[in-house]
Order: sequence, then structure tokens, then C-alpha cells
Amino acid sequence: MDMLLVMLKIGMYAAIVIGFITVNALFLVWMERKVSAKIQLRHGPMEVGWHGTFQTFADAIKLFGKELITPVNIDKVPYLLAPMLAMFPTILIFLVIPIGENLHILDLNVGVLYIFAFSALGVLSIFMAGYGSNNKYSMLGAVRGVAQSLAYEIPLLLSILGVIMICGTLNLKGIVMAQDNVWFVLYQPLAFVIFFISTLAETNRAPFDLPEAESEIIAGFHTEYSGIRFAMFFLSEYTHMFIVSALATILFLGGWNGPFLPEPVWFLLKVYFLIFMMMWIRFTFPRIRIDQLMTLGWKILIPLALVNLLVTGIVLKL
Amino acid sequence: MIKELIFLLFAGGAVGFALLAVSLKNLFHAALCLAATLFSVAGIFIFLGSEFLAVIQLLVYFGAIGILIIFTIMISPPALLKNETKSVSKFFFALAAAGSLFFILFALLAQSTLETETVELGLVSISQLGTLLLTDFVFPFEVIALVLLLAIVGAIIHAWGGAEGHE
Repeated sequence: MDMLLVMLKIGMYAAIVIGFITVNALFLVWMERKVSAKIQLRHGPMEVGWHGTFQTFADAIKLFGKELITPVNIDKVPYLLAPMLAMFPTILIFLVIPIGENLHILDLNVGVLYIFAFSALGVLSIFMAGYGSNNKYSMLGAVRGVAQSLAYEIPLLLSILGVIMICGTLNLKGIVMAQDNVWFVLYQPLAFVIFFISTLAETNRAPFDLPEAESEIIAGFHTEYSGIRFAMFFLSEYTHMFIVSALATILFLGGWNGPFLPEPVWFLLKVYFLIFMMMWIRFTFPRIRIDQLMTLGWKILIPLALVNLLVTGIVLKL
Repeated sequence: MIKELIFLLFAGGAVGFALLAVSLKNLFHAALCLAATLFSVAGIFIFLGSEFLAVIQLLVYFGAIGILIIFTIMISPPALLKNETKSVSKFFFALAAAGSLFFILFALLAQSTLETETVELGLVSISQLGTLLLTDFVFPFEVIALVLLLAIVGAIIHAWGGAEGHE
């Protein structure tokens, strides 16, 4: 009986997380098309539902119905595992994100590290997809993806260390509680900028979308994927956007803190504002070259993050 | 019941993937299996009650070292990745080397008089761990830091083309 209860609980959590991930991705795709349309003085999707709200549902059903094309001469195991491996960490990361003071599934003492540990899995799935597809464009995209994530993981981790030094905990709830009065973005503005730029590179968003640069290498690492397999890469990319924005909200923007409105509303407002910023950047800046990307990561962001860490340490000691 | 099953899954995964990692022909597949082994070890750490160690294992070994190995395979020229031809003598030399190491370690471990006892572990918080690292164990900690620094300097010198330097 006890076991049945545990299983039921696990099933419920899984349903909530997967449901949220799906709805979030459908909403973000619609939002992205609308934002890009507004920036380019168009209307965007208008036909299906109010202002095209249900357009992405129709698109999703189309994707599910599509034939799964498996190319010949592929490396079967990495090719088939890659889309699942892309989804797996995003679901696991969702377990620890606190949307309100008591609205979370797991409350880990090492929440921040947990998120970074699992986001490392994403690179592996990109490389497996590129290697397994036996296609030169996929391989090029995968190589770019690994090089990029190596360059940007370091400033990302260094930039959050300042916040952790101030509040002295790795617990996500504890970090939000420490921002009751002042958001950490005021103490650590430089760290916030470094964090935001690095997350753009981590999620392969423009102007750092080199792994899937459609004007150069078709669709990069997911060139050979179709139907539901492609949809899983798509879903994981949009979920990743939500995750990094949620992390930025928790670390720098005071999490669910805010007046009048209920906690989850404040949290989601901040998260979707950050996602809107990411979309705004995508349709404003051109894609940068791979050498510019490497220079920015290794020669500018890492030294800046180290200086920020040093200054934070000195100020805290004084 | 479920706990034992999940433990067996992780333990079996660690052993099975480790065997695959050393026996597979395709170097990329072997690297993937190594990553899976490291992942399973992280799972075992959770069973031993140390979520911090599990997360660090994932972050450092799985995330950093696993990706570095794949990166190395990726930028190696294809000629280096070709399998060398098998030879019987090589096999026996390898067997002798591995076997002797095994017997030396086994003999040493068999004689050891280290007493084992089961201790109930309290959960160690990260702050306790940090305090210990910077007080009681500060010397080994600094030595490790120095070794890593030397390794980094050595790697940079190698990348620049030996001690003569670049250009």
C-alpha cells in the first residue's frame, strides 16, 4: 500500500512536470513568433484561435504525425539516444526549481550545483546527435556546440560564485530568502550581465546559435532528425530557456519576492520577462563568428568574472 | 525492495559500462560508456547518503572530464583514432602487467590490519566540509591546488610547442 502511494506521488510529479514543460514550450514558440513579427513589423500567426494562440498546437500535432526518417549508415545507438538524452536533464532540473516559497518538488541543499550538473548532459546529447547522424553538417554543428559550451560553462559558474559568497548557501530557497530586501542584481550587476550572456551561449540562442546556424550548416546537429525526434530537441531547447531564466530569477532577481501579487505570479512574470529579453536579442543582433565567440568567452568574460569574484571577496571581508 | 532494485541498477550499470568502456572498438562509444559509468557512480553516492559528492561527481567527472575526453576525440586527427592491429604478444604483455598489479594490490590488501566497522554517518553539511578543508586538511588541499596549477602550466607550455616557446 505504501509503495502504491509512493508510485502515485511519483506519477503525479512526472505528469505535472511534463505537462508544464509541454505547455511552456508551446507558449514560448507562439511568443517567439509574435515577438519576431512585432520587431519585423509583421503580424505573425493570426489564423488559428485568437491572434494565432492555437497555431503551435496545430504545429505540434503535425510534428507528431510526421514520418520518422532514419538515414542509412548512421551510428544507431547515439543517434536514437540523443533526443531522449536531450529531454532527460531538463525534466530532472525542473524538480528543484522553487516557483513559490512552498511550491517545489525537491528541496536540495545543493540545488544550484544540481542544476549545473545536469545541464552538462545537454552538450553530450548535442554531440551524440551530431556524431551519430553521419552527416558533415551535423558534425560541424556538434563540434561547435561542444567548443562553445566548454568556453561558456566557466564564466557561467564563476559569475554565480559571487552570489553564493554573499548569501552563503547553495540551497535555491535559501538564496531567494536572502533577497527579501535587496535583489542581488544590485550587488552583482556585472555578474548578472556575464551570467545572462553565458546562458545565451549555453542555450544556443542567437547571437550564439552557431551549433544550428541555419544559414551556414542547414540545421546543425539536428539536420537528420524529423518528426517527434526533432520535436524533442525543440522541446528541450525551449525548456532550457525557461530553466536558465528561472535560475537567473532565483539568483539575481529575488525569485518569487514582490508586492501584492501571489508568489508564483511574480516568479513567472520575471522568468518570462527574461525570456522576452532573449527573444529581443535574437531578432536584434546578427550571429557572431566562431572566433569572436571564443574571444568573448575566454578573453573577456572569464577575466571579468574572476575580477568580479575577487572584488566580491575583498568587499565581503572588509 | 525498490531501493535495492535501483541500487542494483546503478551498481550493475557502473560495472557493466566500465567493462564496455575498455572493450569497445569505437573510441567514441567507449567514451560514452565511460560517461555512463561515472553517472552510475554518482547514483551510488546518493545511496551512500552524500548528495553533495554525487552532484560534484556529476559536475566534475561527468560534465567536465567526460566532455573533455569527447573534445579530445573530436579534435584528434582520424589517423590517431584507428585501431591498431591485434597481436598475441601484446595481449600477453598487457595481461601480465595488469595481472601483476592486481596481485600486488590484492596481497597488500589481504595483509592489511585496517579494522573495519560500520559507522552511522550523520549528514555532513557543505559548510562543515568547507571548514574542514580550510582548517584540518588545509595542507593536502593546498598541495592538490599546487599540483593542478603545475599541470595547467605544463599543458600551456606543451600547447605553445615546448619550452622553447612560441614563434
